[in-house]
Amino acid sequence: MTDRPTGIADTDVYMTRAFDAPRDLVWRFWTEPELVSTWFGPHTTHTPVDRIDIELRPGGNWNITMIDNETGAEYPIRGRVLEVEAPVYFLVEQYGETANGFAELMHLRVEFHDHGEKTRVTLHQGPFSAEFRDMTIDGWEESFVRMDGQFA
Amino acid sequence: MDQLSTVFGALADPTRRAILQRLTDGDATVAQLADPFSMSQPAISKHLKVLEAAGLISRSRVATARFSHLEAQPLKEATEYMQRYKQFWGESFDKLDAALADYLKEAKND
Repeated sequence: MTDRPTGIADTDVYMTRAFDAPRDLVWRFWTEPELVSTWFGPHTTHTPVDRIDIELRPGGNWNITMIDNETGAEYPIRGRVLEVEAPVYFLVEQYGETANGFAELMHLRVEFHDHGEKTRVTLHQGPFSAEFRDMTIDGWEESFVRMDGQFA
Repeated sequence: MDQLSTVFGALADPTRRAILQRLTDGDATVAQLADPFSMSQPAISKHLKVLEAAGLISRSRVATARFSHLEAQPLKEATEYMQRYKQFWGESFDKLDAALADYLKEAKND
């Protein structure tokens, strides 16, 4: 029996997408602030280059702040790089600022698979746990609720 | 702890996820649920209690047999919650796709 039966909610998000560009370039779009700012976040937000702080080394920052296009509300993502192997993968530990201070929450692992002129990116984010729910109270949930409203 | 947290906690265990999957085929007794696993009925009963507390299943008694029944709503809420994250990355990936195309087009023209 599979560990992740289809049709049943899982505790982690898994995404994969093939991009029409060589791996070195896709890696740069994920790690260089001026390139990250061109795409990161939902359509209803933008991500200014001076609000992106990515330090590609274990223990380095992985901080990105998205700004709502309409309201100017800020949605910061705070993280710490745990592992990095350019241009193959990076692993970030994301944490949120809660009323009780910082709480460590979940991992974001992004892998880059070389297919010549194409690159397959696989993303794993999780686990979505009780601790995670604490963050969403003052974290991303607002932005997603707002996003849902705009797409409704 | 709010209900969604309880739901995610309940879903964190592979045995419990497998039990839920079995229940999509219809209601089942503890013995029927224990059958595919190398686990005792008391061990399965413990998992059923966790699932019941999360509202993911309900249990009813018919004569001496106790049947478990899949409750879809909490599962739907948990799925929708994670769906928002999939949407976040899905939209970001769309934008990345376009940004890469623009970049490569410019590089070609230079």
